[in-house]
Amino acid sequence: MQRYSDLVNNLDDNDLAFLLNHIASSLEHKLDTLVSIKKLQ
Amino acid sequence: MFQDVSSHVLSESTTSRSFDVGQELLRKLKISKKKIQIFQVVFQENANSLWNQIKSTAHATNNVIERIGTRLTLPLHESHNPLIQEFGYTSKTKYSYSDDVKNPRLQLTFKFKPETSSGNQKDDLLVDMEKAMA
Repeated sequence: MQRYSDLVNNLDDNDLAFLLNHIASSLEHKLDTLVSIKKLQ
Repeated sequence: MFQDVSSHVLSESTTSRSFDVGQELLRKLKISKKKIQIFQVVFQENANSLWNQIKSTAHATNNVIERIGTRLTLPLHESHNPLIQEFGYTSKTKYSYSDDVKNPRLQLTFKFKPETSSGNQKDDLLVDMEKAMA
């Protein structure tokens, strides 16, 4: 996890925002599954 | 790793409908406040549209499951009082068990539709639920 924090903290702000937006846009399917699981719990 | 962890932070925040969860995770990971703010902006920009997409998507049941059956059983020796049947306005029968009931068991049976492409029939899925022991 140290690698993750180093990576994020050293990324350029715009690059980080770009990458996060890209990840967020691909979350639909994963979230659909997560919500289904949480509803069952 | 970057994608997995970031994805986890954003999805946990979105399913919780609050960035508090993501913020806590990022703090634990020792992410700077400035970078956490970037996560928050991305979360705020995407959370609503993601939620709208999720809400508009049926959770598979209509397309995959043909029928859901329920069966509620109570071993007679587990209760000292009789089972009560109540008939409501909707003419559905409601079964009430006495307070001393120990282990009512609810079984849900999910009957799947045959797969459209192959015609294969999946076996029924039986979910057995029991009252937690107090």
